[in-house]
Amino acid sequence: MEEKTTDQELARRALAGEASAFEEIVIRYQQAVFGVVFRLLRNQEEAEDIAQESFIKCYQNLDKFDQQRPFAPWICRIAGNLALSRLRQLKRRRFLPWEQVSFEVADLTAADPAEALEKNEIKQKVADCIKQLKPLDQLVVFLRYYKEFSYDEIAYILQTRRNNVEVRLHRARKKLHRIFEENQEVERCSPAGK
Amino acid sequence: MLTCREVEGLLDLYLDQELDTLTSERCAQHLRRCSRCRALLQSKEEEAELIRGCFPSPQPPPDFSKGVMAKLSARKQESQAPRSNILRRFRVTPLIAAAMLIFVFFEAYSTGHLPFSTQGKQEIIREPYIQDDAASDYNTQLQNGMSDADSLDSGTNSKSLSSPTPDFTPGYLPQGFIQENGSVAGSPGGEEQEESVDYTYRNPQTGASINIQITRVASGATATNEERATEAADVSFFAEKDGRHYLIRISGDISSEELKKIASSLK
Repeated sequence: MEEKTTDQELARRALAGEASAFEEIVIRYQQAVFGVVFRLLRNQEEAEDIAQESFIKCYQNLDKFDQQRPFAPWICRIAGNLALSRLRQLKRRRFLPWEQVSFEVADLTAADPAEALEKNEIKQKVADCIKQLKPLDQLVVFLRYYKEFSYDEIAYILQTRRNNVEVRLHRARKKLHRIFEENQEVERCSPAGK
Repeated sequence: MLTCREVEGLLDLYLDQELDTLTSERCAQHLRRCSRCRALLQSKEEEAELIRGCFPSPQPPPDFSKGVMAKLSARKQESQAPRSNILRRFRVTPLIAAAMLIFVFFEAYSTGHLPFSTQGKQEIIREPYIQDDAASDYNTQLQNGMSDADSLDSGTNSKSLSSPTPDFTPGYLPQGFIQENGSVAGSPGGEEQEESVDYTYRNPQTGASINIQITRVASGATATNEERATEAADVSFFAEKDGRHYLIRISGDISSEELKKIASSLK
């Protein structure tokens, strides 16, 4: 079985001028980068633009990438930086776009559609709760739960202290936990829960 | 041994594998013995799973990577654009250099510094203190093959070279006087023949003028001749330069002391 080319190898090849190697990097990290940027900007168009800029900046600074370190935090840090700069610009202009995001929460193929629907309700609540988090808190949750970055990596990406990451995560978890508790309360009270 | 309260506070970090090895091990020991904390851990794991599963995950467009590569390519071309501007500037530079070369060449040509330049011969016409007829005479002299040594002046500056007489520019002039013009008269055909150059200096404010007439005379002429100063407003004397003899006559609307000063500065 063919082994997956490492990020470092791709970076080296991209530095040597191999465009396809850089395109592979883009494909590999587009979701992570887009996710980071979207958490902060919350607008598809803005996020697309800044995500593209992040990769361009990544390409321009590829020679500065320390190949002894993982690539993902580095590219996410670039994306976070650009998104935060953009966010500050937008705030200065008193314009912060906010888009509703549709979620793929309905599982129509489930064996028990009623149970699936109930789960979907919880999911929707959690998703709504996540959306209501402050952009940076939401980003920290995203980086932790979705991208499974360590606290240190998140601190590196957001250029903050590890302690700050812990505080943000704790705050977000508390809010989310409240939803779970409420839901459990509803389950206990409902006939199905008995 | 950690208490339930302590473990409860560490569960998130335990789940995230962010505890140091020792604390993590102590947590694990507690969890093995405490069913309540285990249930709490399980609840947190479910929450985490739910968060992961329902995390709003907007996706980049399907052609995102193509868009990045296209944008990157466009940026590369843009970054090369200033270089092409520089190249364009370099393209302009030879034109400037060529224009400068033409200018320098023209200047050299017009001042007679080029061997094939004819302008130098004509420059004498442009000399403000040399009249045209004298210039044509001098041109004739040049055309007749008269060498510099044969000419009246073998000095080094262009004015002296083009002038039929040596440079008798006064070292002193009363304040406010500026040179107005010069004229050459007589024929430079032979050494014994007389020729003269008149220099006029004028004070534009007062209208007063000073005239210096330099006349080449026969070698036998001396200061004892009648040409000696006869009027108070005139100072005349003989001078010898480069083996040739000249009668210098200075006159003007100034005091005789000033005239003498001018004469001294000429000597």
